[in-house]
Amino acid sequence: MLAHQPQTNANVFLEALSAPDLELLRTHLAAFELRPGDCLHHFGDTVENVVFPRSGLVVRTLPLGEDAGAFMSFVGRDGVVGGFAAVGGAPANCDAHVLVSGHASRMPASSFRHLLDQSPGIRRLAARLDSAMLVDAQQTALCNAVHPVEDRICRLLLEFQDRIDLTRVTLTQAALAQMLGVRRTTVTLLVGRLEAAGIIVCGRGAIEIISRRELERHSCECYGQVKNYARRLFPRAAEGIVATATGSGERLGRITG
Amino acid sequence: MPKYTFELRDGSDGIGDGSGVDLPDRGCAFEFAQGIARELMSGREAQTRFWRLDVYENDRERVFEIPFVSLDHTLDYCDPQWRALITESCERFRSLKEAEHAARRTISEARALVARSRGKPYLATEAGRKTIRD
Repeated sequence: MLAHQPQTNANVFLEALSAPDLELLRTHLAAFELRPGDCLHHFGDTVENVVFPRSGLVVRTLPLGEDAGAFMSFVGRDGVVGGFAAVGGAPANCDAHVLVSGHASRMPASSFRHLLDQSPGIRRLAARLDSAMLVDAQQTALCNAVHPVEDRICRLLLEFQDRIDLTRVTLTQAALAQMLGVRRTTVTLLVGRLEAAGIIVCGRGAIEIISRRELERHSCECYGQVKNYARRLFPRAAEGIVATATGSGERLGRITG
Repeated sequence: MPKYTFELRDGSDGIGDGSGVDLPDRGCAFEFAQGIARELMSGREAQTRFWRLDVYENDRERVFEIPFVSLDHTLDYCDPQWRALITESCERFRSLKEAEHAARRTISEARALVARSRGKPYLATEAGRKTIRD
């Protein structure tokens, strides 16, 4: 019996499934609300549910002593939370917290594993998603090692906007600093430089993206590398995200007379 | 505990951190500022070695100036004389860029003032800053 008929076609993974495979999953899916601050799982936990976000944003972090965790990646409708661990019945490989509210579908991890055994199509798609996640993780490791903090800030803002479809990035400078592993003052000064260049505007607790084109130009190559790889694995879904992101307007200087 | 604020001199008007950080003493502030400079420079030493970070205590007194070139590890191979020459060049280059930036702002302001006096349209703000300064 279905508790709810979720809108399964807004998540990249679910959207890429064939109709028969989607029907297999649909019987196990239930609607699930993402509320800011909710923890989906901690590092080392047994993953109980696999979550398919349809909107909103989840942030994956690695635990770091008593401090807030080290940032790994964002997951929105472009991904799946808990799937990687669920495949092999392994413990969760990161902390996952909801950053921006949204809607999702979820299913028991045991059911997901069973369906992977049943369907080669679902298995192939899961492998593609895992490949995309691995590329993202590898690129982020490289990025953290060699790229300037200013470029990494631009990349983070772009990846946030890709998943939320708004020009307003609801991240504080302190949160950005924690994600990037640098001092808050460093972020403030670099955000000030981007603001002086007319690329963003900083408000209280949020950053407004004024020129996405300039933000992409100032980002490191890692943003494009990961996006291009994902586009090859999920062409239809990647186009949808890119189209939304580049639809944001360019704000001009105010002209008066 | 004193509050220390920072201003990045990157060849523009300068970028400030208004909120600042509370630190026990000037020694801590110096180390903290060096850490910021290293983070700002990391991965683009050649492009940023002419920058400077100014440190202010309690929003009043400038207590330190940290030229990024002094922290540039990619110049460690240089002999002291060569390094001194690069340091001086960076200082002059930053001063030149700041003068150029100020000149451009003055030109924009002059154009806007003339246009306004003639009742013609002019660019009132650019990147959030008023073209005609109060």
